[in-house]
Amino acid sequence: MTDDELVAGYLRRLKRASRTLPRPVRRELMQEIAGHIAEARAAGGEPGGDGSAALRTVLEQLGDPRDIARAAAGARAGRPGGLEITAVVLLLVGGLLGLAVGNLGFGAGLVGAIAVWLTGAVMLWASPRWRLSDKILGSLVWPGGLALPFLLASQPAQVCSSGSGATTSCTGWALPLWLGIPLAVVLVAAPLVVAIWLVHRARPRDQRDPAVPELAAR
Amino acid sequence: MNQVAQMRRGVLPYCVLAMLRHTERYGFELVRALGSVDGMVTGEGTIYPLLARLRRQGLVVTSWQESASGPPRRYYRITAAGRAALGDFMQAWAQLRDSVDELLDAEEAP
Repeated sequence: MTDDELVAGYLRRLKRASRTLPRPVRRELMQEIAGHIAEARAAGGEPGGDGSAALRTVLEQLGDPRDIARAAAGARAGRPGGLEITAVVLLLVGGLLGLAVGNLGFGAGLVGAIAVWLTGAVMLWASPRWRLSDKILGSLVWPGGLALPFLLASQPAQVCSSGSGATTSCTGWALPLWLGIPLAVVLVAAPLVVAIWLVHRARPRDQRDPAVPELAAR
Repeated sequence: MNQVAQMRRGVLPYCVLAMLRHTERYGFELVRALGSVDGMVTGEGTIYPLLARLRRQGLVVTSWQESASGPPRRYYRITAAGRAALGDFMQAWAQLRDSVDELLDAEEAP
C-alpha cells in the first residue's frame, strides 16, 4: 500500500465515522486532520524510502478515527439540550396549546397554534444538534403537530337527513371508514414517531464519557 | 485509570489556552507540543475538536496564514475571554493542587 492510499484510507474511515456531525463541523474536522497529516509528512523528511513506517506512526498517534469523531460529537454536544427538548415539545403539542388558549377566548386559536408551532420550527432550525435532513423532516411531517388531527377530528360530523322523496341532503363532511381510520392513525402516529426520532438524534452521543469536557460557563 | 483520563481531559482545554498565552500557534504545532508532554494526550486527533470548541466558545480566534513550506495554516490566538478563563483556572488549580498535596502528604506521614 502506498502512503497516499494509507492516508486516503484513514481519511475515508474518519469521514464515515463522522457522518452524524453537522456538515460545517465535519468539514472543518476533515480539513484539520488532513492538514495535520500533510504537515507531519512534510516534516517527516523525504517521501519514498521508509515513508510508510513513519506515516503509520503519524496515523497511530492521531488515533482511531472513531475516537476523533466521538470527541467531535462530544465537543458539540455539551450540556443536555433545553433548546432541543423545547423545540420538540412545541412542534408536537404547541399547536394544541394554541388551540386550547384560543378556545378559552384569548383570540384566534388557529393563529395562536400557528405562532406556537412556528416558534418550535425556528428553534428546530436554530439548533446545531440536528442535521439538515432532520430539520426538513421535522418541518414537513409536522404542520401543526398533533393539532392537525385534532382539528380534523373536531369538525362537525356528517349529518344526513332524508327529505321528501328520494333526495338526501348532508351537512358536514365524512371520510369512508376504510380511509378515515388509517388516516387518523397516520396523522397521530407520524408526529409522535418524528418526535421520538428527533429526540434520539438530538441526544448527545456518548454523553457519559464526553471526550472534551464543557468549560465552566463564565 | 479512567479517572486519570477524565482528569486529564478536564484540564486539557486550559493547557491549550496556556500554550497560546504568549504566542499564536497553528494546529499541528499545538498538537505536537501537547503530544510530547508525557501522558497529556492519548490520541492527537482528538485535540482538533477541542480547538474547534474553544473557538465556538470565543476563547480563541483563528486566522489562515500562508506557510513557506506547504498549504496555508490555521493559526489559533487566545482572546480576552480566553485569558480570563485561563486566569480563573490557574487560581483554582493552584489552590486545588496545594489542598490535595497537603492531604496526600498528611496521609503519608508516619
